[in-house]
Amino acid sequence: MGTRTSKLSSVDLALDGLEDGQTLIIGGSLFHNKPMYLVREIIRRQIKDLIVVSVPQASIDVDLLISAGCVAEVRVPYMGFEYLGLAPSFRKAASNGKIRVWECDETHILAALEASARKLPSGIAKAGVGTDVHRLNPDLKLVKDHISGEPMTAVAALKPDLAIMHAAAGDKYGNLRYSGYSFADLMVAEATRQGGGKVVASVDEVVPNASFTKDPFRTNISCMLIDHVIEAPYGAYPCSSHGSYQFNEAAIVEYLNAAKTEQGALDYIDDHVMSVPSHDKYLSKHVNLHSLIEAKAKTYVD
Amino acid sequence: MSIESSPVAWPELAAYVLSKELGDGEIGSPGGARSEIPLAAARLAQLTHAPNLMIITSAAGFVANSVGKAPAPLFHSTMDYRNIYAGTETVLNFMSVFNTPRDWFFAGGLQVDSFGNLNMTAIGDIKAPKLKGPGGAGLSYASSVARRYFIYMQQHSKLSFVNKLDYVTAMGYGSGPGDREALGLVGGGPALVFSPMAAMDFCNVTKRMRLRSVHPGHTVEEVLDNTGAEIIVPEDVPTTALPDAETIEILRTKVDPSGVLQNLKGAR
Repeated sequence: MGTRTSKLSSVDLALDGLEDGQTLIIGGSLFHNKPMYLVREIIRRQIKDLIVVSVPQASIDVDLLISAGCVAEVRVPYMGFEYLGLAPSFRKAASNGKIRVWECDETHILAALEASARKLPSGIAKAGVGTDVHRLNPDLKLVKDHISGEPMTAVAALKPDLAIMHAAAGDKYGNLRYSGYSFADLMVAEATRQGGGKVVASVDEVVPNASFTKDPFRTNISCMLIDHVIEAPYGAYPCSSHGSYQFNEAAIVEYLNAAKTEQGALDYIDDHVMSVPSHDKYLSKHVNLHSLIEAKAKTYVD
Repeated sequence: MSIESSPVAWPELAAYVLSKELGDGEIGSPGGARSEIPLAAARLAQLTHAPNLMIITSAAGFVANSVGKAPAPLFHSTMDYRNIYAGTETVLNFMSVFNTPRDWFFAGGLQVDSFGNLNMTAIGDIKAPKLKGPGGAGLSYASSVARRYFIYMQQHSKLSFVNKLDYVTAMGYGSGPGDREALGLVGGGPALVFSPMAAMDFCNVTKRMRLRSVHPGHTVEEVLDNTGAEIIVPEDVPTTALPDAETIEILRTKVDPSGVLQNLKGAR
């Protein structure tokens, strides 16, 4: 009898094949379930000209990649920090032409991902009708619905080369479980896998396979969709691992303040990425035990 | 008495006025960059006149009702995990978030025009914008299907209320009556615009924005001096009614016990 293959990987193996100009899709939303450890590892590899996708929302994950000069194009329906303000490097880079912005609605990206997951050439959405988005983004086509003839927006299937996501727990075969919401991660994994790309998940904790067989109804994403699992405790920090620990607002504000200037953003990247060559070293340098205890405690309301 | 010196902070007044727009038995989603305000409005509605109203905190799929439950803090972000403790009864899977029609939702914007069209894209030439906005989020989708929606602007100025948007991110009434129907947009369009100075609705016939009430401490002239959009001004514009003592108590003890609304930036 053969042995079942473990997907536990080194980050080098997981990110092998990522090249300049590829399409990267990032799971999670806003400050939640963002695979920040993997984002830092991509920055460390100095990958350039990425097309970066995230749905519905991105914040420090994509903004940090822009600060580091890794990004050519952003495909994110909402790019900002919600109540903490707009995204500093995104705003600057969009204003001075350093990045292209693929203007869109959430349902355009979802239609494009669904199309990829079902191996269809394109998807359709009502959003965009009556707006300027078709003029701003020629990839979104104003079309007539085949049945009713009413105006609709068509969008080509989106097939990312690499998906990165963060879950609370996973086993060595790639089954994933989230403590809180999993946002669009299942669709992200399906679209990437069926589109021929690679899906990499970091997890706070690797748990035994028996923990999934015991209650398969609680498995959010099947191992069938996952190529690599990397154990990275607090791998979403300073974002939340939804339901396991809260995002660290002060640490996110620290980035926002640093990124007010280009030099500040570069200093931040040096301090938080380049000068800390491993996740352990990052945790030792930037994450104190008290803030983690607080982040865990803050997931409860009593 | 002006809002600045009155006991009710602007975001509290916003939550109160907006809560009265929400009907019993409806399903809706708070949203926008200051989602504390619509979230408070919806919880206040549940605890006053709309006990069967269900809140979907959009991007996290939490379906909540506060009636008969212990008060929970109002968090800054509707996606905050801790909202699970605020009367959440169901968590929708991600596609259900998009497959559940809303009676209403809330939107913000960089610019709004006389017909309730919204710009979240950019101000200035798109190739080198003066201000790059966060993007369309799901506004175009939501505005195409929701029965109606509410717009809240954090600033009331000639830069935010304009005659012509730099870019249309979500269509309200287009350029007037019939435009939505012609494009097959089945939702009803914007119902109300709320700003720190005034509340505005839309004329049923012309679909043009109309001054509905001016908040205490502000005048019609002041509103018009700060509005770049052409709006209808009725002969008699009332002052926005403040909540009564009982409503303020519900707002401050049950909806927002930690005083988040009173302490929002620019609240006073």
